[in-house]
Amino acid sequence: MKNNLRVLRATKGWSQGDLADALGVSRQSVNALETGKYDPSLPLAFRIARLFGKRVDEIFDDELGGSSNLGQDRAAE
Amino acid sequence: MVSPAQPTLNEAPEPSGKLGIGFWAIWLAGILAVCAAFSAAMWWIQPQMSDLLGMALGGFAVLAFSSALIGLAMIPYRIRQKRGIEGRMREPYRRYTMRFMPAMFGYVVLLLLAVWYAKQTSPTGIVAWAIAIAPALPLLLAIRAIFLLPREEDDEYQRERLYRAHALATGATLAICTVWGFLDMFGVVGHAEMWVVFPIWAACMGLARCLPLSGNR
Repeated sequence: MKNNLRVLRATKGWSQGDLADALGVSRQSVNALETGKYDPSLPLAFRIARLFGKRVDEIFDDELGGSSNLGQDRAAE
Repeated sequence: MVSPAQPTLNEAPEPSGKLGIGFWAIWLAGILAVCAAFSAAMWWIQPQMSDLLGMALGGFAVLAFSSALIGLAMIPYRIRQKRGIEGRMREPYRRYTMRFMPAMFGYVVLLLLAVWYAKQTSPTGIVAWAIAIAPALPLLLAIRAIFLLPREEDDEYQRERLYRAHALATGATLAICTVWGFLDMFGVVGHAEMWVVFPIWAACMGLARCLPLSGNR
């Protein structure tokens, strides 16, 4: 699953350790999430979304739709 | 509207936990040196192990060897800790260490005492059973500690990695022991006692933890 976690983290100016602390996970988890090696559980995905004030599908994309919606505010909807 | 599609990655550079090949070469040489020193010490101590002093020396050598190996194994972790990559030891690992280490200490002490007592008295019946089971009991506590660790791991990514390593180690142990068992049955390899399954599993687990079992993709 694709995600724009690294970008969101960068806009906040946080290190991986900062994000890990904010989420209550290990820094290795944040690294694995960002590099796409690990897909989070639903509870963790919602925690991440809540932290950045976004919806889960604005951060994670299952790539099934073909085109990515990541980072787009769906104002047109 | 924030458009993170073209972000400026003005983040602070992440500290690197990577250690050079020179470090790993020295580290490996250190482990080999400790193993060689232990083998040499045991070669000297073993003929004297029929008396209590020899047994105590043997026990001391085993404990020193284990401590040196654990100390060496912790060095990469300590370096990463100094570089700010690793935080303090997390609670599940602290609990695991507090369960595992006393169990292994108890195992070494009980094993040496049991062997010494059995040599002295050649026990039979219920006493022989009690002597034989004594070293296994702390190992059961060690096994309990090993299997409680992933259960108590509160980081889902680390838990996933641990369970994957457990599955791989268990599969590899089954494979090794099954093949060995048949080779043993047909007399083409030496006979192994059944307790070797624990060290085999532990070695497989050690190797599995080095593999990049890093995700659920």
